[in-house]
Amino acid sequence: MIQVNQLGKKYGQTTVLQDVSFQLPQGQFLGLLGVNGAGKSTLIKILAGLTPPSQGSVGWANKIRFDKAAVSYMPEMDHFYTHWLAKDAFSFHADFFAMNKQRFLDALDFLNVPLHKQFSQLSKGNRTRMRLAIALAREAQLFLFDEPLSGIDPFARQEILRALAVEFRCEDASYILATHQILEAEALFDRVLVLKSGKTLLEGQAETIRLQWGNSILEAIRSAAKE
Amino acid sequence: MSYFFRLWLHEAKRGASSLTLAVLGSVVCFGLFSRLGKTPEEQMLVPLILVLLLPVVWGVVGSYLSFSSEYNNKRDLLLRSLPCHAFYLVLAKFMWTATCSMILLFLIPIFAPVFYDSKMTKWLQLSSGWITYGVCWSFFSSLGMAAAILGRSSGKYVTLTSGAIILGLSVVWFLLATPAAGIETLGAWTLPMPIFIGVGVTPITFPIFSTGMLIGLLIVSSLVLERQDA
Repeated sequence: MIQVNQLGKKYGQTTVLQDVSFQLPQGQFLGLLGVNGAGKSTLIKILAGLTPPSQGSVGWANKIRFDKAAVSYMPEMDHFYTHWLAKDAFSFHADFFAMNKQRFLDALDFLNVPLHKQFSQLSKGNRTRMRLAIALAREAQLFLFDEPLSGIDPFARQEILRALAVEFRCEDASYILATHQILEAEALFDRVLVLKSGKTLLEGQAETIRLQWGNSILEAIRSAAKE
Repeated sequence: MSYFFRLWLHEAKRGASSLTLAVLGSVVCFGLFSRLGKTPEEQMLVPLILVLLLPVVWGVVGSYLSFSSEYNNKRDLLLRSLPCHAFYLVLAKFMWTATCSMILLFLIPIFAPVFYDSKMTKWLQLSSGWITYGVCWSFFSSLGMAAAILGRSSGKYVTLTSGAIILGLSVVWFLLATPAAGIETLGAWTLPMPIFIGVGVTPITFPIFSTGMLIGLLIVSSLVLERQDA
């Protein structure tokens, strides 16, 4: 289980996260939701070990601190080298992380990623698919996806969601997905964390939130925001 | 420690094309411009002055463009997400640029023998200058990387500032040392400068500026030759 306690982050005098706490049991999927600037990417970067929190702590229930090797992180930006083919991206990551090659090949096949085109020659959708295939091929305990559906057409979004939810989901790993596509991704979520201006607006089991606040997570967010 | 060697190898693979372009670009430029002078002194001085101007333009414009783009952010993000201690990342960066210095030490004398007389002592004297220069640049370049890894947004300013310090020190060195040491020493210090700056910037801006530099120099050289003919 992942435990996040009283997490806060300040950049200079600007507070971007404040007292964010949640738990994510092993094998569960957390939907990280909120408008632009709510603090989703900052929270994911802290969980990925890219930036230290100003306050609070992040850890596994049975470990003292997070380890980058156990966290697979897919950022929103296309951060791969432009000359990389799919195999280059894999061999680079395999130098540093435990990777599952068969899962990678299956993911490329499932997501229809062109194998012989450089990263810069791929469309935005295919670049996202290649980065997703790398992220999914990691042998990790926690998978972090920062806006993988952003700027992707509806058909590709369904493909990506299916890859995340069904085809390549590891039962013993936990998942966090930051997205604005709430309606499409809602079915994936076991738990939901909604941020507003860096603070927790809603947090808990997705089903409980639906029952308490409305028929859908989107309705629940609207209702909670009005209060 | 094995992570360090993997990182070093990665940096080396990434920068190999930049280094090749830099060496060839600078040597070709120098070769072209050395044809402009008529007397032996002019043949040395004209290309030196022109090549001396390059690192200033190259460093300032190249750095601005590379930091304006998202390229460095993306690369930093990729490296920072690796499960390595930040120290190894910085060390790998330092070792790569320092390695470039060593490679240049052996490559440039082969391609540009114009700087060297037959005495080994002279060769060593000039080489030691290059090593100092290369290691200094590597150090400051690594500082920028360190700042970026530590999550300080001022990383780019550290790199730019350190680049400016290096350039400033070089100019002072030229002014103080050249009158006493002669034109050959000036040449030995001038030629590698754009290379170090290029290696310290990014592989994306490097080919652009290498090409720009070559085209610019060709235009200037043709104009100068026309005047001389007239």
